[in-house]
Order: sequence, then structure tokens, then C-alpha cells
Amino acid sequence: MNDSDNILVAEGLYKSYGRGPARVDVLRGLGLMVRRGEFLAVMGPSGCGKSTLLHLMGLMDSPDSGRIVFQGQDVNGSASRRTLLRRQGIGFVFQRFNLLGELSAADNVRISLRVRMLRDDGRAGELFEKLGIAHVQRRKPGQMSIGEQQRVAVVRALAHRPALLLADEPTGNLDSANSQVLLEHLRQINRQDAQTIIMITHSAEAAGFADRLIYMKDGQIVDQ
Amino acid sequence: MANLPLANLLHHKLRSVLSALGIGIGICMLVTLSGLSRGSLFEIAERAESVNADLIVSPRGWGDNAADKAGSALPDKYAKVILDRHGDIVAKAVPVFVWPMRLAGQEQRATGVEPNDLPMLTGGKKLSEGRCFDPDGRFAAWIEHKLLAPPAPATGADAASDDDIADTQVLNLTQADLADPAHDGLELVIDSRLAKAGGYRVGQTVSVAGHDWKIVGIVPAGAMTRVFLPLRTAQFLFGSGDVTKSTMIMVKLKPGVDIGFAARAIHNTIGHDVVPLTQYRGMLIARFGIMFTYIDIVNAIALVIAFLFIMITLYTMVLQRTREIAILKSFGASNAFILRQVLAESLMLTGFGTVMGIALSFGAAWLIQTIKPLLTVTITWQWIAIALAAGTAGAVVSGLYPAWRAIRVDVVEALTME
Repeated sequence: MNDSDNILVAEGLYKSYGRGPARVDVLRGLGLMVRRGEFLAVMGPSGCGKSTLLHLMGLMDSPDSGRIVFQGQDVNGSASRRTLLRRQGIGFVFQRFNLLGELSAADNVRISLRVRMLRDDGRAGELFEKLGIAHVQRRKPGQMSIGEQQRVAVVRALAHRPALLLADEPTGNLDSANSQVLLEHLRQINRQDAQTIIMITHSAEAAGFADRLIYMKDGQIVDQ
Repeated sequence: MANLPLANLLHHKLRSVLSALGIGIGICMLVTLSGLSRGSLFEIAERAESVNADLIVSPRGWGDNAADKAGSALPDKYAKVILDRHGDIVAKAVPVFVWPMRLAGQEQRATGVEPNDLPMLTGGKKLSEGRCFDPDGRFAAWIEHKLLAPPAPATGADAASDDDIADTQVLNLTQADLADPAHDGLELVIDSRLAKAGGYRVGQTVSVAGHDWKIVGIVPAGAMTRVFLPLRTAQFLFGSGDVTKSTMIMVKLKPGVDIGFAARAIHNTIGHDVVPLTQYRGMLIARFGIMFTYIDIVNAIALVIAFLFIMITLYTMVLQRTREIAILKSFGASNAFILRQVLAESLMLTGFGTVMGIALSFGAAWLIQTIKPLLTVTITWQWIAIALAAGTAGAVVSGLYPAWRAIRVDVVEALTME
């Protein structure tokens, strides 16, 4: 396997919060490689550093030390460079959906495209259809079920055709039926579109939908 | 296209409306108070400018104060002197006696003028109702006879000297003498606006300055003052019985005469101040313009308070929407994008408030002029443009700090907080 097969490489990541006695070392020399088109699940107990790792891989934060290479580019540069790469190449799905409550489902997707200075090329409509939520496009989040809201969040995360989809506990707020539907959709998108997905989860059942599972403990990967 | 700022404002309708109302009240104050102060003053100026004259002759040293002077000041004989010495350039020289009279609950500047000269002061407007006062000059002749004609020979030790004639006869005149139908001295012509404000009509008697006056005519609004009365009545009653002096002399020049040249020539002849009528507005502004400064300061303070209100509203909204801002940042929103969102919201809020304020101004102008019909509120495009500019500038300034706070939102911290 050569480097171009990897969409993301993390090497020796250290990250801590707080100072002095209150200092907490969250990541301790973590290393990871993610292949293009891979569906990777990250599991681990609370406080093991899963979310911190996601923020670093999502280029929302920078490590204290270590290196992240995203699509062949070292991203340990300026914040504006990370923002640019995030805007172009990454999509997020959050546990709490994080839809903008004042906007309709379609407008939630449009605003994410607008931020990225992109126009809707029809991908959003395809995704609404594919995820079975075409009927909710004009509804605001408060008028949708939680399952529909999370699927809208997936549409929003993928409408700009990102190279990497990061999902932070995407089924954490869903019942089992909705979780099943969402995970099946994620796997379908992964398979059909070769979409790279990294999913943080507590659920072994959810992790079962992934191609590969890594297990974290105390800021390090302890099992793959 | 998704419009997040508009969606946010519509999502919090009451807060948005109240915030816009705060701006609206500030803008309304700006437009209305400016319109009231300038409108009322300029309406006086416009009335003065409508006089069919070119020069105002006033006592030496009055300068800008001539705009609000009243009473006996300048001998009428100067009118004759001006005509005699400058007949080649002067068409008419008309003495006028100005004095305040309280009518319709408000002090009015009343002008005493010879009946034949009234059209000069009304700018040629004809009476819309009734007739002119003292139409055949009987009162003027009567009072001049009383005060200026040699006295009947007196007998005995109590006979008055020539110098005492006027005083003695003043003391002997009564309301009945003045109002005697034989000479009709206590008559008024008022303008239509005063008639409407006071509910006055032709034939009605009003008590002013200790006398009962009969309203005999109504002239369309726009004449020099709202009240006119016979020159001799004004001089006699308000000039301490001296019917030889007026407040100023209005001079109409012959066609084609250079006003500056004529003013200098007349000044050189009589030694008193001679100013073009076109300077009247400037004189008023010089005399009362400080009022504009006070009002503009009050307006500025009101606007600052209104925009602080907007800043607090936006700041609160930014704090409440920290998570939403973080979501936008997670998409890769640039600082410029976040700045634009907050400023757009500020501009929408203030734009709505400014439009509301301008609309309120028209309502306030109507209300003021309905309650106080003699006040003039002039809402001009210039002040509407100033209001729009103030609104835009205020929106940007008051939106900057909240926008800066929005830019500084930590995306990780905001997304992980519960």
C-alpha cells in the first residue's frame, strides 16, 4: 500500500487540556492511518480521547505535537489553512444533529454549501431521495422526527462531496430502529460511493457496520 | 438561498420587533425633531420671503436681531425720505409695526400696516374671506387727527402745552372710542392657518391685549405674519401712543435695480441697517440656529442609546447562538462569513427599524400638526437620507463587537458543551 491510498495519516498525536495539577493528557502519541473508501469505527470508554481525536482529524483543533496528513497535505499549518481544508474535504455528522433550528432541511443543506461557496449540483436532492427523506425538505427540524433530523444531518455533511465523513456518535440520540436505518444508509453510501467514513461510537452494534474497528483507551489505540 | 440572518430574526419575532422599535423611536426622534425645529423656523422664513419687497430697513445695530424685533423703533418719515431721495430706484417704502399678540393659545407676530400696503405683505395673495381692516382709512385719519392735529384752544390754567397733546389724548381714549363703528380701529385680518387653529371666522370678536378685536378678513396662509392690523392702531396701542414710528420699513425696488447697490445707497442716506429680504432666513438661523444644535445633540444621544440597544440585542443573540456559530465554523465558515452574517442581521434589524422610524415620523408629524396646527413639521428627503445613513452606520458599528465575539467562538468548546 502506498501513501496515496491513505486519506488520512496521524502520527504521534499528543493533546492535553488544562495546566498544572489540572492538566489532563487526552491523547498520548496516537498514530493512525485511514484508507480511502474505508468505513472505520472508533470505540472506547468515555474520556479515552475519541472526541478529541475526531476534532483533530476533522481539522477543528490542532495537536500539541505530532502530525496529521490529510489527502497528502500536512495540515499542521495555520488555522486558516485547516479551515480551508475542512471546508473543502470534510463533512460532519454530530450526535446532537446540530441542525440550524430556524432553517428548513433544504436550507440547512444550502447554508452548508453557501459557507463552502458552492452551488447545489443536485447531489443534495439525490441524497434526500437516497436516505428516504425527500418529503421533509421544507420542514424545520422541530417538525421532523429525530431519525429524519439525523438523516438530514447526513445529507448536509455529504452534499459538498467531501473526501471524508466524520460521524461523532451518530446513533447516540436515536432509538434502535432509527439507528439501524441510519447505519444501513451510511454503509450503503460507503459501499456505493466509496465514501470514507470515520465513526466514533459507543455501540458495538453500530461498530459492526464498519469495515474496521479500532479500540482506544487512555489516549492510545489499544486494539485494531 | 438560505438566509440565516433573516431566519434568525423571524424566529425571534417579538425580540426583533422590539429591537427594531428601539431604533425606530430613535430615527423617529431624529426626523421629527429636526423636521419640527427646522420646519417651524423655515416656515417663518418662507413667509417672510413671500413678501413682495426687496429690502428691510431696520434701526442701526439691529443686525441679525431684526428677525425677532418688535415695537416702535424707526420713524415713519424715513419711508418718505427713501422715496424722495431714491425715487429713481425705489418703487415703494412701507412702514410696518410688529408686535406679539396671543391668539389660538400661542403668541403670534402681528403686523400693523396701512390697508393699501397689505398686499405687499401677503405676497399679493387676496383675502379668501371678508375684507381688509380700515378699508377707507377712516380710523387712520381719525387717530392721526386726534394725535397729530393741533389741539383745540384750551382755556384757563389747565391748558396743555403742545408737547402734552398726545399723552393727554391717549389717556382720554377708551375701548369705545377705538372700536367706534364710525372708524373701525380694532379690526384684524388673520391667515387661514390661524383661523383653522383657533376656530376663528370672519365677524367673530376676540379679546387680545386688553381690547376686543373684530376679525374682518382671512388671508391664505403664507403671508408675512399670521395677524395683520391697522398700522395706526398698532402704533397707538403698542407704541406708547406714538403714531410716528414703526418697527421697520419694507422697500420694494424698481425692476432691474441691483439690490446690493440699492441697499448701500439707502444706508448711506438714512444711516440705518438695510438688508436684502433674502437674508431673512440667514438672520433667523443666526438668531435661533443654536436650537438646531441642541436638538441635534439630543437626537445623537437618542440614536446612540438606540444602537447600544441593538448592540446588546445582537450580543445576546451571539451568546445564545454560540453553538450555531460553531456549526457554521465546523463547515469551514471563514471569519468574513461569520462577520457578514452578524452584520447582515444588524443591517436587517436597523433597516426595519429605520423604515419603521421614518413611517412613525410621518405619523408623529401628522399628530403634532393636528394637536398644534400652528407648528410645522417638514420631513425632507435630506433628513430621510440622513436617517438612512445614520441607520446604516449605526448598524455596522453596533454589529462589529457582537461579530467579533462570534468570530472568536471556539468551535470545539462550543460543540462539546451541553
